[in-house]
Amino acid sequence: MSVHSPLFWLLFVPFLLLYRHHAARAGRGSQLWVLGFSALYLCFRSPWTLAAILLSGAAVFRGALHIESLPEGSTARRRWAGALILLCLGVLIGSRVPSAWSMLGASFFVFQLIAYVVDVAGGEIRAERGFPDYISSISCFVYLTAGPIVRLPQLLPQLRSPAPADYGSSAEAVFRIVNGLAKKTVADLLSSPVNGYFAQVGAQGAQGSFQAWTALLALGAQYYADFSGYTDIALGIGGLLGLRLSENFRTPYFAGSVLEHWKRSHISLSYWAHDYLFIPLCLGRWARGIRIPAPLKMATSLTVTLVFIGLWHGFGMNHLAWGVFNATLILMTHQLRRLAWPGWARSRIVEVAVTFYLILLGRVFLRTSGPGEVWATWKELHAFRSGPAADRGVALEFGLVVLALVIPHLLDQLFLSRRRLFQGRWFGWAIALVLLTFSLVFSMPGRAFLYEGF
Amino acid sequence: MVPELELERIFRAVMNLDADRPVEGIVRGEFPAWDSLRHAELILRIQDRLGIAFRGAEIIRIDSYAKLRSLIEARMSARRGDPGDP
Repeated sequence: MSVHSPLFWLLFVPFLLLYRHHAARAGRGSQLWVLGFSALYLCFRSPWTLAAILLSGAAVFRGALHIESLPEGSTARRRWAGALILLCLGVLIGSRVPSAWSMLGASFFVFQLIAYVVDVAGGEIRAERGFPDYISSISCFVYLTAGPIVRLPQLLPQLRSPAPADYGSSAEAVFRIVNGLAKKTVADLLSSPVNGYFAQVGAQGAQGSFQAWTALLALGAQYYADFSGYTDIALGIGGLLGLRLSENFRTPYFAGSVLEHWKRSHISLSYWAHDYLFIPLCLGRWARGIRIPAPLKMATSLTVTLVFIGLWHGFGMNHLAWGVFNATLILMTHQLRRLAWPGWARSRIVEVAVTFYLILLGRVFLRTSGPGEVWATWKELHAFRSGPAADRGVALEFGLVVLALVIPHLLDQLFLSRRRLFQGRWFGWAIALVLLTFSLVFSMPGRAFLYEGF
Repeated sequence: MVPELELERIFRAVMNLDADRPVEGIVRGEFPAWDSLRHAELILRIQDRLGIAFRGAEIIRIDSYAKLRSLIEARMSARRGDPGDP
């Protein structure tokens, strides 16, 4: 029962009507309604995840209350926090053990738990007193499958007191859901050129540079359409429930540097990693005791952070290498910009193009299974030779891939900059109708989101 | 009192700022050069040169030059009030 399946909507629509009716009249207890639907959703999708959330959530709930009772800044407080973080990481690692149990999106609730523990231990927030409210936030079905990563102080007040439903916000939420479904369809359609090319990388006989570029552009478009498509559906469902949370994607391929790309792509993970990994590693209490030059400390912390994000995508040498690749690019840009003379006129278009090229090269790490395949793909891309299948069909495929890359980005740019157009105006409804028709005609049912279960 | 000149010197060096550009009104969200790496570098230099350490949440909340200056000011006042503070 994924969020793009008919079964989900058959259950969700009656729930939404009851929830809205109840929340509007009673004005309380809405979080328990969401908790109930989350439990139902998890029973359908992964009872193991429900068990893991209840057990680890209960341990962290009790532990956080205990931490709060200890003196601020004490060693005991830090040790308890450390133990709870280890417990959370244990759940995360356990969820990745192949075929042991089928867990769903463990990282999205585990990261929420870790942030909660760190913030309570640091005295930034108070430990939550009500277990049902707390667990409704940890298990919220909207964000559990593929994010975005939400933080308890951000979500819980909204679960307790959701925003009232009005025509404009509901229309915007519906547009987001339809846009997400259309993106998911685009992502599924793109799997053909991507799988077709990467299944043969490293095999005898070159496929040609044109085919390699088509596949790489399709890979970039597929990642964006699939992941941001899920986020759109999640934020749309949240919007219908009166939960308004921050964006997880802001047209990442329009970024002017790799660092900027990370601030526009899977934003919630980037900020989580920045706040709870990079900052403690680089500037935290224990880091202050390590006497190494500042640039080396920064480079090491950044590399560890990006390797962590790489390993989040999968446990493999390629994922690790992808983290190092990104860290190297960011550090190089950082140094180059320092060397640039003041007043140096930079071209935004050139920066965006170079960044897009580098990000695409990096994506090869995540789609191949060894350094040999990465190298073979990079070589093919830059060999500028035609392959055996160079015909009109290939050119048409290339054109469609470019459209699949450009149209969702332009539409998202329009949505982010002119949100009002999608809040019940005829323009927003017309676009939604086109997207819905596209989804109904071309959808490929049964295909999971790429980042489901992370 | 904040070692104003020293703080400004560090800030200018990290952000690659011209000498005639005023620093007081600089806000992180409106100043693209102030990215997370430069932010980390800024805090590291302040730790090294001024001997002032910040907590993680404080570091994340510093979003303007004025806020940074007032945070350092508060920290130095606290330090003067408690000579035993490391």
